[in-house]
Amino acid sequence: MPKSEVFFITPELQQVLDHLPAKRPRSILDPFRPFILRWRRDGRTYRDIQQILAVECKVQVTYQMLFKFVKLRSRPRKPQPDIEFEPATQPVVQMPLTRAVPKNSDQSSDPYAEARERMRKHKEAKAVQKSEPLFPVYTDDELLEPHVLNPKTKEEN
Amino acid sequence: MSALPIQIQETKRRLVLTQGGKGGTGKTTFLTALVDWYDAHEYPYTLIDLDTEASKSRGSLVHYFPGKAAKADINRPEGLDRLLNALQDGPPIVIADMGAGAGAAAYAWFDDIYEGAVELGVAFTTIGLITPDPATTDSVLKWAGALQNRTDYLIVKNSVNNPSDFTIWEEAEKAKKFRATSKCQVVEMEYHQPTVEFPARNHGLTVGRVAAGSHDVPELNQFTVRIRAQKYQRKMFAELDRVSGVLLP
Repeated sequence: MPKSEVFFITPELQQVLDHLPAKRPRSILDPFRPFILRWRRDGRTYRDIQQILAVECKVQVTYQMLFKFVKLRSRPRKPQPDIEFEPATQPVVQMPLTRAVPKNSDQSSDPYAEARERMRKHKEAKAVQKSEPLFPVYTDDELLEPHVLNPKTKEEN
Repeated sequence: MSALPIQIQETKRRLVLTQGGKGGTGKTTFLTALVDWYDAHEYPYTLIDLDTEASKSRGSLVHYFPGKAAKADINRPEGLDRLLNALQDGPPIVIADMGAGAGAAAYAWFDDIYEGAVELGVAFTTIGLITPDPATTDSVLKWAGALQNRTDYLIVKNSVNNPSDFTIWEEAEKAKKFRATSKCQVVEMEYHQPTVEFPARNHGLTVGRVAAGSHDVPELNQFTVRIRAQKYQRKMFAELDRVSGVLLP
């Protein structure tokens, strides 16, 4: 996962960031997208879905709005699994800069501080490598040769 | 012009959940081994069982960890919210077991909370189980298509028979592409003797408890059973140590 990075933010930039307009919701149906698409796949009519949304989810939409939503949102989103993935570790850095400093940075008040520290060390530690066999591996089609001593030094060649 | 350094917060908490796709792939079995691993390292966690399959009172997380795992209903609005709320003041790890067919509800919830959760330093790991059944590969790819790069992926190759053939997972183009682009971690879950697995499941015993002999089930207390359970656990722990990056905050 991402490690700490330092960003610099000027008061001017801060002011701009503070006054950015909130992201406009695309549709009130967005939270129900997977359900709506599944219901369509299951063969439910738009009228059925309209009614389910109204009764079960308290969301009132017109038939036309629902129809348009399904037509637009049933197109494959980008990226799809057969298109591209980004490395899984990127999004965490995308948080707003103004909220990046944790309010409570006092480690002593965290009852899990000690466990967190052990986990951090664990993640940093190298995975245990498979050890080499202590003795040479012998296969029975190998020809065994006796030790040959050097006649002058009386040591192994 | 003065400049204020802003520290980008590291991941502080992690939500580890199984991909509730196809049923009977070994999701809960793997989670029990994972919980044993967290226990062995004395890492604090919260366990939540979202598997509300009525036929599964035995072999559910609550059955393996009575009093430790809490049940939550994925079909109720507050069910999935419990996963994040548990991270607020509780242990920095939440482990959740999704039931089969939990996809749509989980995707909608994930879309809803993801950005806010990341701001709070929460990282996600979803665990996909692969068996020789091609439907398990489909299921993992479906989840990946919905969650995209917003989560870390841990793929568990579950050898449900011996030997197991994972050709579809290894060779299918989409699966190859997923592996290459998601940089998912892959661990192998060894074939587990049914003579041990079934009675262990029946009595709600994890491999760890069988290995330690901390139970009173005679058929699981034989030396050979314990030795095999210990060997199985050693291998599983070595695999989990290797991928600790996606299991710890």
